Amino acid sequence: MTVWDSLIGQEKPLQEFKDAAVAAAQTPAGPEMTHAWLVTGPPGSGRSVAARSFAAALVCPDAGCGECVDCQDALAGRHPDIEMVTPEGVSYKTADARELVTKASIAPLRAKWHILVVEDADRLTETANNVLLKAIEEPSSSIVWILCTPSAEDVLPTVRSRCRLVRLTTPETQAIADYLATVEGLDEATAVFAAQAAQGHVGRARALALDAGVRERRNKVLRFPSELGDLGSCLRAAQDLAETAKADAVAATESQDQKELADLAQAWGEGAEGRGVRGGARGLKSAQKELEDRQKSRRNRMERDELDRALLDLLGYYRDVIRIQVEGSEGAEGSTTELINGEHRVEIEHAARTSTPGDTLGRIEAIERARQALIANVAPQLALEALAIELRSPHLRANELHNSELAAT
Amino acid sequence: MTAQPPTFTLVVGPEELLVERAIDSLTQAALKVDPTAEVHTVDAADSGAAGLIAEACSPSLFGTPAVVIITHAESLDDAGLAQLEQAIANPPVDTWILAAHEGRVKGKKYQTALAKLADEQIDAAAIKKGRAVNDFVAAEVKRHRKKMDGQAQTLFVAAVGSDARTLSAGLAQLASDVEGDEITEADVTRYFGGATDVTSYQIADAVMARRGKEALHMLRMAESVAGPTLGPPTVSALVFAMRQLVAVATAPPGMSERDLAVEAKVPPWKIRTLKQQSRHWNQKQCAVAMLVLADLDAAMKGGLNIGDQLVPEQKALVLEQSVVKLSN
Ligand SMILES: [Zn+2]
Repeated sequence: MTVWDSLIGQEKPLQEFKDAAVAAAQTPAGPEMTHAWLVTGPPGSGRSVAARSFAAALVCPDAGCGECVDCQDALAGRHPDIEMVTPEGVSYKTADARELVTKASIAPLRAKWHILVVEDADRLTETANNVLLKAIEEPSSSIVWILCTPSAEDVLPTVRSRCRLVRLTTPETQAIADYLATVEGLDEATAVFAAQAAQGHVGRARALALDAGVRERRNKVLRFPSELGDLGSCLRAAQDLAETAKADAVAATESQDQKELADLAQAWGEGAEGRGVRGGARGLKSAQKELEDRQKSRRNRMERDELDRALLDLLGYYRDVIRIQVEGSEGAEGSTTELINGEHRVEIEHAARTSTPGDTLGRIEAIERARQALIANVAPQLALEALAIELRSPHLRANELHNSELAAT
Repeated sequence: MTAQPPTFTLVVGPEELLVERAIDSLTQAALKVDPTAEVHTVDAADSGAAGLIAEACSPSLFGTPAVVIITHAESLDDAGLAQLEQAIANPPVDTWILAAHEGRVKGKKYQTALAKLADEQIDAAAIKKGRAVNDFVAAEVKRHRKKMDGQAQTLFVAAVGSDARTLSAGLAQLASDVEGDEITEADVTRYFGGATDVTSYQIADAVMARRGKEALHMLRMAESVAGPTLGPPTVSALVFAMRQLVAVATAPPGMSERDLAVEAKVPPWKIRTLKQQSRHWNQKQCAVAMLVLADLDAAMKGGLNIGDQLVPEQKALVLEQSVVKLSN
């Protein structure tokens, strides 16, 4: 095995990384290596995986053998010369960026390079961008920055121009299925199902293949359209979906939240007595408050991510519907049309027969609008209520809100 | 010749303002008949009320006319009632009697007995909510010989609340200060606009009742006080109101009010209001309203499209447009 095994369906970027890693091992480093990288790619294309693999290759004396202790530590996330920073809130604050810049002045302990990976760098605020810019402009000789964003436009142009760009693409379904079968050792049917259902999102494919709870949630989401009858049922279904996402976010973060709070209390020596306890208690309180705010924002983000995944599942469902409406349920030579949601073929074919392509397009637009609404921070339940109504009546908006100033805003 | 006031007036109801007004009007009428008339007040809750009633209603030595007011008639006892019945049956010349009864269950039999003897019965029912308030306002306007259309009246109620005294005082002020025949919305705003504390829920209620003008007016008044911070609470009040409305409107027919209250997550007393409101809405209109609200929420958060950054003035405009659209 090598450090690149988890990077799926990315031939060209893979070659760029490999060349850079080889160049980086030379003294002095070859021209393929540089101090600042911007890795872009759609969600699930493996930006973080790519960054981690590349970082591992840089700390490995052998440019990513996958076997040595540096490679092992890097892939396990415990290499002292690799920092992976993931924002938990909605955006990186300036203080976070400053902390990062301070780290960037530390020389590597074991390897030739000290690597700082900023995941989701699109969440950097403008000020945070500028703080980072200074550090990237004048890097110490052993520092490597790897910024990850969905697209190159997500960082300030000044930052972008200092970085070498590596573009990941959405991996092919087949590449994901192969990976699940060979690397994760799953049977072919499961691998294919998960790869198709994940629509090019590697992490999602893994979760679908490995976690029954994730599969059950997805089925629940796919039942959503069939639950929409009168207006009351639309609102109930929307509420149900919103509450499920919220509960899942709480469940997923709860134990971590508790542990962090306990750690914090311990760090402040809770229960200690004597002088200074009063001041200490105040300090603890404000530290707790800050931590709880961060936890809350992490929970919100997780809830919205969860809902976005649900919306992507629904999108896949209606893509299947329109595919059948346009291509028919049988492909060339009598083979069945390949679907994202093959296991729901019966309902999808029924939906395709009982609606028009125009209906389906209206529904797809409504789902995209709901995704945007979640990004715009619209209350999740409200966004889902509007979605439920539009899935139920895909032309309502066009007929009733068309020509009004409201629709334009 | 001056019209004789009724010999026995019964006032039924707890609304003090109306009771006082009835007493005042009887006293004024009596004084017109004879400016030397005396007013005796007996509290029926006092011990020995029967004796006091007998005394107050006995012919005066000098034949002085008298107005006898009996308050808290619900607390009469049988002896007191007997005295009163006797006095009403054989009233001394120029004696006018008024009894005020709270109209509740307590002392109901005295109310029934007195009602049979009354020459005139005056309603002093509580005016706390809904139609009673509107009727009261309408009556007050008439009393002041003014006109005031429904919009202006509801706006007025929204501005000063539903306390009868405050309403009455406010209308008296308007009536004396407004020169023309009609009290308009502009008059109401001029007098009460600054002092109001319009809540987002009042705005939502007006929208749900399709009182668009009033809703918009309240929104503007509230904006003038609270500024652009008004958007988010108003949106959530509207969303809540609409969800409740839908829950009530789409409930299976025949569902009990109690179950309905649970279903709609509202206190039981709100169900009637919601049912009333739901008459103004069909399902399609509710559905469109939810879309408008989702768009509105996005606008309040800065806009739906990435990079949108609506300024406060734009947000306020979208809010107003939405309120108008929703209540039309
Ligand atoms: Zn190695």
